[in-house]
Amino acid sequence: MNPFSISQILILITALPLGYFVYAQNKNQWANRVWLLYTLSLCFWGGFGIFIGTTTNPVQAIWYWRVAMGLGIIWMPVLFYHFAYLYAPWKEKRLLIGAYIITALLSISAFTPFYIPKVKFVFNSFYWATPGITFYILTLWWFVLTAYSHTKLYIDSKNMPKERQNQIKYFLIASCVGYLGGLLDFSICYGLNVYPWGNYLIVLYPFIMTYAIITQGLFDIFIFMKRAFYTAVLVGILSWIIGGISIVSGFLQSKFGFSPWMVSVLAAMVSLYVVYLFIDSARRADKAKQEFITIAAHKLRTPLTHIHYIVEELRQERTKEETEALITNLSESNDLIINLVNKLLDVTNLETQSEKYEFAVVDLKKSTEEILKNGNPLLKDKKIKLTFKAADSLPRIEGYEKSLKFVIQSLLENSAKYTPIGGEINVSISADDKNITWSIEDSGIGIAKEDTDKIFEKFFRGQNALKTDTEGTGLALSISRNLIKRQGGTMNLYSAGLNQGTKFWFTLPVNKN
Amino acid sequence: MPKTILIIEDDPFILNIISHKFVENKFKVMVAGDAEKAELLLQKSIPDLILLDIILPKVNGFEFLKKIKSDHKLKSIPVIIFSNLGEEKDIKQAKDLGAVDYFVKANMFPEEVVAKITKFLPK
Repeated sequence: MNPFSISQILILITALPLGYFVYAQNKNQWANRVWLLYTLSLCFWGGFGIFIGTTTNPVQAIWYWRVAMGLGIIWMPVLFYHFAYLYAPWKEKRLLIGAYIITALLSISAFTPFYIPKVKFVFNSFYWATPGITFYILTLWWFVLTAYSHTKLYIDSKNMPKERQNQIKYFLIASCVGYLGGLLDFSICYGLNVYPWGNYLIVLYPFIMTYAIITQGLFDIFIFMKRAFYTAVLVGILSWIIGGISIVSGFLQSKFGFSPWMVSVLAAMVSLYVVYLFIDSARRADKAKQEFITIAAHKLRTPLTHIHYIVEELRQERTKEETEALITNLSESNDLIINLVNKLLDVTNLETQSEKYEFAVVDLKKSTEEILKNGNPLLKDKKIKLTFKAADSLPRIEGYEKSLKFVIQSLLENSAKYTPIGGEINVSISADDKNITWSIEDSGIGIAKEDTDKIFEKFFRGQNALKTDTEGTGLALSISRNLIKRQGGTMNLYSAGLNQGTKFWFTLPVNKN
Repeated sequence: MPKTILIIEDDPFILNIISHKFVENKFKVMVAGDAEKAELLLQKSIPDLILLDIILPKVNGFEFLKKIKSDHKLKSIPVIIFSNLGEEKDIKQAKDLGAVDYFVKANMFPEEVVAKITKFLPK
């Protein structure tokens, strides 16, 4: 097997799992669906490219080229454009429809002699396409549409939130690398006598995107099944190593007479395993969603049970005090249900990004002062001493004001809930050249060492929190940390242990413009 | 002689309502907010039946049930799970661990709980 065929195997086994993984994370999101189609078009190139690289029959080679181009390469620019259209989002629907029509026509033409009339034997290894009239049109169309969607995405990103800017940066890096490889492949059709090593650059594309998913939450995938994901990435890297081994194997074949089928079988086994791993990770994602629904249902059933029992109790004869106590509990249970439903909607909106927050300059000090001024009834009821310290001039930050207020409100509420009567809560904001740090420290019930890692998990409540007479949803901290992460920041906590108080803080990057 | 019920429930409101209902129906009631307290109570007295919640602080109901069923002094006490978890897998797990029945709190009135447990009480 020649290096070109091996690079096609690698494209197939790296692009396919990435596409499926992105799709499996949110099957309802159109951007994710289109991304899957985009990677599938790359896979057609990878899959049929293997046959192109190995066939010795020129008639067969023409047909492999036609399928690889007609169902694969030709569709890549329009699918990327469609993806960017949904991701940005853009509103040029007519242009999108027009792009699809042109692509469809070119795709049909790919199966005619106007596209690839013949093939030529190159590098003493395989048959490469010789362009026909529609191939020239395709080449022009391909580069124009690709350049248009990438340039537009880059220009538009300047007015987008920082998290999107970072994500788009990775798209562009991945595209530069991948498309450079594609360019070299195209060039051979036009007579450039350079072996298609550029194909190996295309293989890097999924790796860059994978890195972006891990570090930037690309496609809004904030990996919660890190182990499964990293395992899959590891297997991807192993595939590369095996690819490398197969090059060595090629050498061994020519020098020592090894059988070529061994490499194919090995590559097929690895690709099957990679697909299995990604299907497995998707199955786990479904399971995690099911668990989320189960816990949410349980959380809702608790106040509903109260209401259920109270109604029954109120049917019986009760003293005035007993009746009032029951009605108070009824009202609290009702509030808890409303609160829980709102928080569940927040989590869902956050995870599907269905709620679009407005990204703008935020005055963190002013927002904090507003929230503290309105106060929290618990602070007054529990006679908690509240202090607030902030430097006179703080650097500018950009963020979603509404979501930052939610985070501050949640952290204040959390501290107020778990601080005993007469306790203290200190809020402060500080900054350095790079970050602005908002913190809240209380003299409350603290957090057990073993709980500190879990405190930001959905529905988790610490040991001491469960003992207190408060009804927490176990969602606010999880939502808050995700919101901060989305704005390029981090959220952490420190507690010396139970009854030692807790400090929560978040940092956000300073806007230097 | 009145039968004794041990109720292990961390929600004070539900614990109060259910225990009152048992007392009204001439039962003797022992109450515990978590599994550790329940264990202390079991060292002093053996109830005729245990009504056990699953989501409890520290040790959950399943773990506690397992512990009871592996204790030769306690394993004959009928245990009924009383929880708002109502998934098939939870019910199966509870039954596999030796629970005699599974009540979903939100689906029953306290009066029904009292009525339904009688068939599991020793004559």
